[in-house]
Amino acid sequence: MKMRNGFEPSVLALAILLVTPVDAWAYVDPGTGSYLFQVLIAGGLAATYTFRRYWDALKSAVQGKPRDPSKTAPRHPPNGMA
Amino acid sequence: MGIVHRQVNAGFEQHYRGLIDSGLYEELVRERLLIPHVEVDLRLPDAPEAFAVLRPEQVPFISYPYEWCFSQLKAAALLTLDLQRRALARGLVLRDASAYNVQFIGHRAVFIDTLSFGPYVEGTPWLPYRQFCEHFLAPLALIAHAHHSLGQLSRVHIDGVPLDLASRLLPLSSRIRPGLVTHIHLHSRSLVTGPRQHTRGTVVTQHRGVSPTAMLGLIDSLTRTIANLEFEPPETLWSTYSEHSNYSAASQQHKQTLTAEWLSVIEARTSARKVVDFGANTGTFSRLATTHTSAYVVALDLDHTTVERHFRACVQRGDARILPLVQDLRNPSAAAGWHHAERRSLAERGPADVGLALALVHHLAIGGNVPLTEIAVFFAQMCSALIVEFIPSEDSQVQRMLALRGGVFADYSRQTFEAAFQRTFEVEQSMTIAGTQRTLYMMRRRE
Repeated sequence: MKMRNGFEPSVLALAILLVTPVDAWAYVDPGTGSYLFQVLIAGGLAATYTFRRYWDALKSAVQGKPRDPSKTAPRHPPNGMA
Repeated sequence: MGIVHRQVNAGFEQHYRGLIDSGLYEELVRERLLIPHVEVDLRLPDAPEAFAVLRPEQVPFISYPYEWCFSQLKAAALLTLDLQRRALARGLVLRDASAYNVQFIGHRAVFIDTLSFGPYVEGTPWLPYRQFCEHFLAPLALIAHAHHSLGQLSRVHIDGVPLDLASRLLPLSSRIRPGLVTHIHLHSRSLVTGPRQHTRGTVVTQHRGVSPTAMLGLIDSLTRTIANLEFEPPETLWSTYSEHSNYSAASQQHKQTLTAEWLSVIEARTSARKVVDFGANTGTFSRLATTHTSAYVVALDLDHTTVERHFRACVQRGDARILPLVQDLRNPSAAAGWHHAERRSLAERGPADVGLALALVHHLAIGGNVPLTEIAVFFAQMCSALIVEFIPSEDSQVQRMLALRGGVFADYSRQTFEAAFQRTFEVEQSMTIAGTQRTLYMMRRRE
């Protein structure tokens, strides 16, 4: 991802397409941008992570080492917690 | 000091049960990553909303992120990310990522906020992402890439170093590191700040779009970014202090023997639970305290790089009873936060059963301009027994300190030192350290 001027409007513009907004006059928490930023970079994070998992698996297979079982996708919450 | 209990209100019953029933609590406690607790029958009559009361294992000494060296903060950051990863694997999530949720027991970082875990809702972003970056990543990056003294920014910004500030303080070289570019520089620019907070715009009601794989990718990316941050402590006046002291090996040995003997005497009398080593440097005498008492030792030093070296040595030895902390006694940690009550001052976290103040008083009196009577009052507040060293003005090290200070410290003498300390302490023993003009005292606070 490149650093360039005008990044903030592009983050907001893209993020608005990805979330469900409600128009309002309101005080917007600064952290709102952080949530939207995560949504924006999610694709890249998922792709990088998936690539690393396959890469690590390949390396483990070649080197004969067991894979790290902790690097699995999260499960659904236990009953009654969602 | 009382016993800390924690009340779980009915509104958090499902969160708490989720932690227990998912098996996460058992896993984290077994691996000593989360503070263990027992449920106690201690319902308070004026707290009908209570669902349970927990008595966690008591932390021997509460410390704060601005008192930690780089490696301590890094260990706390990696622990937090590890917990988030383990929670996700059981369908849970860390609901906040405050550095104050981590404490140290010796060299071991442990998470203390049992109620921080909640259900993971697929697709949602990680709520405390910004908090994690401000509490951990920003100060760590500043120490690693700018200057170690910037760790002290957390004293002022007790809810984390603002990302825009960190972004401006970090050098240009940080912008070629993908992790720092993403999680600090770009992240800071995404925050809605200033007048834009009032602009008619969007209030986000649903945050979806971060898949479980992306969530793991975020935690993985943060982990790699933190793990790649390195701090090599430079040599400083204090880290090389012992190499340049005017002690001979025999004098040093005599001082250690005396200190060990007196610590044993105090231990036999009181079963000391806490020793504070003031001006501990890299911990020679802190280690002595662990071998001659059963106490937990808090080792304070003003120099970040010295504390860093001491902490690394503790990790290497697996030392569970020494906690090195950054603390400048001329400006010790103050009470901070709402109503001066969120973070306690150093004095409020005392007193210790035994204080060690070795080769320290002359720095406070001459270097710090603190009157000897005030120094005595401070130690009387901080500990009930004291082993203290007085270095007279004839000593070559003190001579060097006095050289540029003229006659300002004309009353700095053994007699005035003893007179000042005898107001608050009773001198039980004193001995000249062999081969020096220095005197070691064992004192007991007057009640």
